[in-house]
Amino acid sequence: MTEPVLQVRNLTGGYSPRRPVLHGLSFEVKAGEMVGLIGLNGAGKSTAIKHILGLMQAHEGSIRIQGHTLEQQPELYRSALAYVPESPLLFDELTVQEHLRLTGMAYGVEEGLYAERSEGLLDEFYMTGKRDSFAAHLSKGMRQKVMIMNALLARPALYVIDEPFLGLDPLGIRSLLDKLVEVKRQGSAVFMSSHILSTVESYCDRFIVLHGGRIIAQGTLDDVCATAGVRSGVGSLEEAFYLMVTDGGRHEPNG
Amino acid sequence: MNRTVDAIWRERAGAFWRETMPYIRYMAQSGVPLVASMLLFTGIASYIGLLRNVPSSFPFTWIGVAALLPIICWSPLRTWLREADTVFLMPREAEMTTYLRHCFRYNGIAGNVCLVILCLIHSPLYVQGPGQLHWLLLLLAAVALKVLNGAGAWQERKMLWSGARIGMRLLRWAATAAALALLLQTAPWLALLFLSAAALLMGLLYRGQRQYHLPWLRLIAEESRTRRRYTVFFSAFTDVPSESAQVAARRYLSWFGALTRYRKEHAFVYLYAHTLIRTELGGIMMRLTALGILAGWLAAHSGLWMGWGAAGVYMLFVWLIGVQLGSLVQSHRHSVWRHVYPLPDNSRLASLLRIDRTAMLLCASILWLPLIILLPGPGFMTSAAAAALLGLGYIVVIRPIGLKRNFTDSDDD
Repeated sequence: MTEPVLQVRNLTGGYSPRRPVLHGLSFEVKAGEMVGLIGLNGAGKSTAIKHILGLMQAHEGSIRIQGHTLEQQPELYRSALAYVPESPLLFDELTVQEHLRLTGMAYGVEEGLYAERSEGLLDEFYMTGKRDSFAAHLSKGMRQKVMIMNALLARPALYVIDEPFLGLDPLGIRSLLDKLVEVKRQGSAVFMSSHILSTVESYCDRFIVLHGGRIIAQGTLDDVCATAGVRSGVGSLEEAFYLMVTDGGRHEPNG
Repeated sequence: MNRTVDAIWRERAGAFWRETMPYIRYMAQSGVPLVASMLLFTGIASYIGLLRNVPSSFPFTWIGVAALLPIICWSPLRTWLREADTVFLMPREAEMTTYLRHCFRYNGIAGNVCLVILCLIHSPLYVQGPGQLHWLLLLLAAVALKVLNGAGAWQERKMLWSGARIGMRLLRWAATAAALALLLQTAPWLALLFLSAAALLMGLLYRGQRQYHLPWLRLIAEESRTRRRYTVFFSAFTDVPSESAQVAARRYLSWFGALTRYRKEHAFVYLYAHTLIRTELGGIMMRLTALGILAGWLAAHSGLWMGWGAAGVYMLFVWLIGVQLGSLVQSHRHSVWRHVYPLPDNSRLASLLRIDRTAMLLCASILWLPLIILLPGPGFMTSAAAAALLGLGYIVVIRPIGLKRNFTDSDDD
C-alpha cells in the first residue's frame, strides 16, 4: 500500500496548552485524492490547517507529509505542500507576475517551466491583463486567484486550501475546480476546507466533519451519511452535516 | 454614550502622541539628535560666514523663493480619520465642521510656527538684498500666503477629479512662487496687486470645480499615508507595529529588482529588493541620497575644511541612509510565507545582508560623485579617498554585525 501524502495522527493542539482547540485528530489524505474538511465557524478547521502548515506546534500527535516531519526535514516537508489561505495574503510591493516568479523561485520550479506554467495560469484565470497590477489594485476575488495560481504553479504533492471560493466569481470557481481535478489526476493530494457543501460533495472523494475540535465523522459520502443516520444513497452531505452539528455535538469523535 | 466629535478629535490627537512618545525616546537614544545638532551648528557657522561676506552677484530672489516656497505651499492635514469612520463618523457629517476646525488649527499653527522661524533665519540675508519691503512685513506677507495656500489645498482635497486637483496644485505653487519673487524684489504695491489678482483668480477657478462636501476617502488615505511615514521613520530605530505598506511602482528602478537571477536561493533577495524599491523606504533613501549629493556638492565646492567638510557630509549621509535602511530587517517578519516557502531559515538573513550591502554601496557611490569630481582639482584628493575608504569599511565590515544582531533580536521577539 502506498504511503499517504498527508498523515495526521492523534493531533491535539491549539493556542494554549491548557485549552486545546483540536482533540486527537487522526486522518490521512492519499495521492490522487481530494478530501473536504467541513465544520461550523469555530470548529477548528483553520487551526488544523495551521498545524499542518507548521504555523502552530502540536501539543500531542504527529503530522507527516510524504513521510517527512517538519522538525526533521523542514525543506522536504515544506516543498511538498502549497497553501491557499482563506484571506489572500499578498505582498503589497509585488505585481501578480512577480508573485508567480517569487513562488517559482521559492519552490525551485525550473525557469522554462515557470514561464510556461505562469502564462497558462494567467490565461486560465483570466488574469493576463492584470499581470503587472499590484495587490492594492486587485479586487478580493482577483487576489484570491493570485493565491490559487501561486499554489498551482508550484505543483506540489499536497494542496492545503482554506475556503478557496470566497470572493471568486463563477468563472474563477470553475477554473479552480477544473485545475484541482487536473492536479488530482496527476497524482497530487488536495485537502480543502469549505462551507460550500454542495461543491465539496461533488468534487471531494472523502470528507472530514469537524465539530468542537473533534472529528465526528469521516469517510466517503455513504460513511458520513451512515454516521449521521441518513439512509445511504438518499441523503446529501448538507443534510448529514446539518443533522450531526445541530444536536449539540452529541456524536462522539470518530477515530 | 454618543461622544461629541470635539471629544473624539482630542482623544485621537492625544492617543497619537501617547503612542509616538516612546518612539521619539528611542530615536533620541540612537544619536540622531546629536548628529542633527552637529549638522545644525555646521549649517549656522556656514550661514554666518555667508552673511559676513555676501557676494555682489548673490541670487537673493532665487534663494529666497527656494527657501520659503516649500514651507508656504506644502499644507499637510492630519485628521486622524480611519477607514472605520466611513461607518461611524460619516453619519455625523453635519457635525464635522467642528472636527475639521480642530484639524486646521492643529496643522496651521505648526506650519506657521515653522514658517516664522524660517523667515527669521532668512531675514538677515533678505535685508542685504534688493527687497523693498520691511522684513517684518515680509514675514506677515509670508504668513498670509501660507494661510491662503492652506485654504487652496483644502479646496483641492475636495475636488472630484485627480487631474484637475494636480493641475490646480501646480498652478497654486506657480502663483505663490511668482508672488514671493515679487515680494522679495519689486515694489510692494506691485506684489500686493499681483497677489490679490492671483488669489481672486484661484478662488474663481476653485469655485468652478466639482467638489465633495467632505472628501472622506481622500482624507483617510492622506492620514494613512502620514501614519505609514511615521512608521517607516521610527522603525529605523525600534520595532514599530507595521501598517500595510504604501507602494509606488517606481518603474525606473525595476532594473534593481531584475538584477536578481532566477534561482531558488535568491527568492528572498528578489522579495527584499522589491520591498526596498517599492515601499516608502526606497523613497526615503532616494530623497536622502539627493539631499546628500546637494550637501556634498556645496561642501566640496566651497572646499570646506580642505575637503574634510565634504568627507564629513558624505559619511553623515551614508550613516543616515544606513539607519533608515536598517528598518528593512522588520519587513516580512510576520509573513506566513516565511514559514510556508521551502527555503532554509538562514536564507532570509543572507538575502537581507546582500540587499543591504548592494543598496548601501550604490547610494555611497552616488554620494561620493561630488567629492571625486570637485575635490581633486584644488588638491584635496586625500579627503575624498579617506571618505570612500571609511564608507566602504562601514558598509562591508560594521553594518553586517549590527544587522545580524537586529535580525536575531527581532526574530526572537
